[in-house]
Amino acid sequence: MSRIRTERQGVALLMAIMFLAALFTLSLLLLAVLPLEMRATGRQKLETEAFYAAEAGVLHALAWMETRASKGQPAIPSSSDKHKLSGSLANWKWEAWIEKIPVNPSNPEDSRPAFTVRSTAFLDKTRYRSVSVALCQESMSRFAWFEESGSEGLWIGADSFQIDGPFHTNRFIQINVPSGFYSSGKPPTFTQGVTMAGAAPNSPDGINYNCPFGTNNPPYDSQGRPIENRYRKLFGEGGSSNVLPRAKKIQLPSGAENLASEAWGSGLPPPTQVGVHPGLGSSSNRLEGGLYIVGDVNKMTLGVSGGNRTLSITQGSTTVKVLETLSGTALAPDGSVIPKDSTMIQAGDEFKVYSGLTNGLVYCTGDIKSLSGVNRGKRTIAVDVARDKDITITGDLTRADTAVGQAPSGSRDSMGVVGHNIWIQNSASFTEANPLDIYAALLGGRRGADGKVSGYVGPTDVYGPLTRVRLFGGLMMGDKDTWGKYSGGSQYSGMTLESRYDPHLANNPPPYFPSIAKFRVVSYREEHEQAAVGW
Amino acid sequence: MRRLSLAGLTLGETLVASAVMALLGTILLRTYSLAYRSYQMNTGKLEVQQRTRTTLQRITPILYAAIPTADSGTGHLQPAILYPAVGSAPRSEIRFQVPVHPVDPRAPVYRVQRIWLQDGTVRLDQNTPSDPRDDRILSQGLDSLEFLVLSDSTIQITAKARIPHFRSGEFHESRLQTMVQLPFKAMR
Repeated sequence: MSRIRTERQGVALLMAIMFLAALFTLSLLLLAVLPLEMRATGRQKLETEAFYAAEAGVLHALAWMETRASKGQPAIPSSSDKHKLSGSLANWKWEAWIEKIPVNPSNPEDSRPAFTVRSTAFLDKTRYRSVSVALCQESMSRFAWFEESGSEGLWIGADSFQIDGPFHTNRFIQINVPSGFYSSGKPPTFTQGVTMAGAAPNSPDGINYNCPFGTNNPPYDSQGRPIENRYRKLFGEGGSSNVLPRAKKIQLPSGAENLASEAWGSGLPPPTQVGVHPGLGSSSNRLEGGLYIVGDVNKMTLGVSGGNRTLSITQGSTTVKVLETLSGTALAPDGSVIPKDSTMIQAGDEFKVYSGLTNGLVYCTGDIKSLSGVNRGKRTIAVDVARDKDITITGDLTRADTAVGQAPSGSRDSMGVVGHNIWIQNSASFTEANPLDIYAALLGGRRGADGKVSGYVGPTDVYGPLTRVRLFGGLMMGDKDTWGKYSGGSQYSGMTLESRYDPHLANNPPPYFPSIAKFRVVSYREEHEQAAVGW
Repeated sequence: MRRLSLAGLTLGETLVASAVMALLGTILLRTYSLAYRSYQMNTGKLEVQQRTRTTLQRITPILYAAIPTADSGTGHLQPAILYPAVGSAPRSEIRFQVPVHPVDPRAPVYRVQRIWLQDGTVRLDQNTPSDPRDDRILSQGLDSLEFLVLSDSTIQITAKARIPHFRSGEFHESRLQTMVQLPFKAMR
């Protein structure tokens, strides 16, 4: 009996097993789809998280470097060439290595601080993804016009200024827009971005157009809405988007100590004896730095001889001549041949030839009372800014690679001039038809330890003969003072300026020209880590 | 009694059992058919989604390397994305500048790269536009790929793929869109 019952139950069991098997097969088919999707989603999630974690490391490193640079410190501690930072983002950890790129000895004139940052994202000690960036610290010479601080903001006449490059002020600007300006055929006042760390109160764009000695002619309507054709007339093609108030502050350097040490060529104490000292550093015959001049310079003249660059420096009754064989050999006073890539320093009948060229830096501990000439090669002429030393430009300061009056087409002979004040000698002989030509990035001013800003670029005498200056380069200063005196709305003394921006100065600045606390990303690359391949 | 019970099922029982079996079998077959069809549909959908997703995943990190460069002649910055122009209609091709590695940050050298769709294949031209030998295939089986440059650092990419359904004349379609923000901008 029990056997018969078993056979009957067996049919039901068999059927149940068949159904279960069929359902199981179906489930398997459906489940086969799910893991595929889950794996794809999980992988994408991990990839995205790893990317953000690695990028967080790069952004952190960049902010850390900029903060240091804004305090006047080197971007990474000068005691080492590498620095490690680490942090976390949710469950992820990142590790960022900042590495300083040394100046290429074959191109010592390009001295911009450069770095690579490589940030790696970890999860449970496994490396997943890295982001590598290459950075170059930006130079002050990137500006067409920079004013650190004006007590009441800088007044600009819309019809008398044409600033064709980046403009920055740490305050705000005030623009006097004459009646009829918006419908006139005049070119825009600015053609590239205007950034201001401050903003005029109660102004929609941070600029004050309410001129006490002129008009109130803003480029926005009564509701504060921009009138774009007016903005384009003032700020070029970008219109209102070219104006950025409340931007990050950019500070002037407090001194030029690094320029002094780079000119001297080593960390050893620099000489104190008045005269011209080659930057030999630790070497006895090979130039490792620039030229280090102790004392005031009465006259400094740049020149070119047979394609090589020359420099004449007069201190008191002594004149020292420096010849650098950039292009080819030259003859020494005794008739011997000076090989290419050498530097000869001659004082009176005595001369000495050093191997190597200078790094392009000429540093003077005193004032340079007269500067003029034709420049060859990249060069920066600087004085002791921290001790309020000045440079006076007394004649044309042009460059060998560019015809006078033309815009430079490269950066081979670019020049920077750095002083507490950069004075332009008044001369009635420099008129609109025959202006004083300056091809350089001019930086006049400094920030004191108390935060006070001083120094500027201007005429030696605001009451002196009206002098017309044509600048191809950039103008950077502490606090612009008046450039002349006016009568009946027209200027009759001091200096007037026609400024043309040289964009090459932004990417190929003069050697050791002061940097700003800003880094330009020149390369960005994402990399999968080997350990994470196949995850 | 015992013999009767051992004689087997009655006709009625057999018919009822057969009917129940047939009903259950039909349900099972229909369920199986539905499930199999659903499986096929899903794998088809996944396939097209994978194509579009993989394409975007491969293109994005390549575009991340795009960087504006200084023109050696004028000194002005050239945009990272050279083609299509900002605000112009979407194109199935994008040209951009990337640094040549290893990079000297003071004197970087750049080259132009190109990603484009041709006959359903997405290619990356790594250097020489006229020489196809260095091209890299990023994905295949795509019906359309569009690059819309919204700003100097923002690109909208739309990828579309479709494959025919295994039985019906219908198509599985996938259209994925992503926005790429070039990292150089965030670091300025």
